[in-house]
Amino acid sequence: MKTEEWIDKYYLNELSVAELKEFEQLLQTDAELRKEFQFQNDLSVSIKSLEKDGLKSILQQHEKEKKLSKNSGWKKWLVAASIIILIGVAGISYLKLDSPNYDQLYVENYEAYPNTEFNITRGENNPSREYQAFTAYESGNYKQAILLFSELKEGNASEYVDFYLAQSFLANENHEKALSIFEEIIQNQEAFSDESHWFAALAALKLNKKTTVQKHLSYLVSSGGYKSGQAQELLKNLD
Amino acid sequence: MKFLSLMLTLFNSDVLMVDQMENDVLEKLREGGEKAFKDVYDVNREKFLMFARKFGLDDDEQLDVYQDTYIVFYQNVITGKLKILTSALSTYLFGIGKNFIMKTLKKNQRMVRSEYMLHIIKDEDRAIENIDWDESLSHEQQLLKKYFGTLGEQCQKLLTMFYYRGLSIKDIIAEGGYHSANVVKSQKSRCLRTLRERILKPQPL
Repeated sequence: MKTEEWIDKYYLNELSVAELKEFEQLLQTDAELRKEFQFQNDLSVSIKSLEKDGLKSILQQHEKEKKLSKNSGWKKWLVAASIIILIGVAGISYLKLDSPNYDQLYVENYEAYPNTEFNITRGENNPSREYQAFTAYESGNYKQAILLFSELKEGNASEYVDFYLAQSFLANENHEKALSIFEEIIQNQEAFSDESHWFAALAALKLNKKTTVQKHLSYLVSSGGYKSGQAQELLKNLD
Repeated sequence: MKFLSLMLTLFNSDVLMVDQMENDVLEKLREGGEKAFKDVYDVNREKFLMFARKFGLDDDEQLDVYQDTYIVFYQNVITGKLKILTSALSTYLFGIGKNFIMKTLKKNQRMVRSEYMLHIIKDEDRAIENIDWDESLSHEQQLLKKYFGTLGEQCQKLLTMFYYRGLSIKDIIAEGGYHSANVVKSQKSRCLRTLRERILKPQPL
């Protein structure tokens, strides 16, 4: 068995008693196995600790809620009243989203992402689908680009095809579709994940989805990488 | 003396009451998610707080100790370390709890009384032999904890099923909607690789 197989079987409880003994012996003699096992063991300890933190805050919250529900009648009315006020405030801020400054912010911040992936040599014979797609993208023919990138996505395309497909949708003002692909890229940790946070935020801005905008911008600010400065600025201007 | 005999009566009656119902609680916790987690917490809360009060802990300390105790118990159930209760659930909780009580008392230099009182519940040690105490994390473990949160949701879920919940490959396939064991394993390798890379080439969080 290879190192990985040994450890997988160990965690999946698939080792027989004899194999378990052999595994323990190997841990003494095989430095590579020992190192890898130590890493995965550390990981399991840290996940447990993270879970523990989560459980603790669930219980703390649970206690708070219990205290709240024990409150006397008038306090309940007070709580109800503050909830109504909160809904009112939320409603107002939601309405504010409809105001034109979100469009304005979008215009100020949006810039189509350049083609950094595919080298287009003009006058090429028998151009590939990828060549055609990037040519369409570069020349601003986004409808055509959407068609071609979609076709490439169906096949065994490189990860960056998803990103440029989403870019094409965004440029073509199909924000809903763009947002969902950017979020897919982030979820699958494909190439351009950081960039996708930025453009997902912009697409959500256009769709008046404030919390989604905030979520993506906050990620960029905390990661300190791509567009983190601009993200911070935009985050400030949302309210 | 009166207190001592009262406590002993309490524990003995607990041991006698171990039955199928108590073990059903474990099943409920394994299957039941957050609601079951809170329900079982509530059911055992008062009895434990009463127990902790005897050691002179104030209200906040009692609650804190109970929560930490209950989480150790719960994690033992979820990770499959505790499959069957050999004593009453409350006895099991007291057994774990006394260590947390000791810690709290030590912190506040209220040792003498506590050591004397904890002495009387040594019987419960037997029931909690297999407990993992969440001691402080090593540097590597702290790093892993920090960077685990930067992984995508899917990776976090998969690694948690694999390393924390101790699910079988069949259960992981079913719960995660994977096509095969090979997909699970290669996806897990990818997640581990990403995690390693992020630790080696850290970006400001």
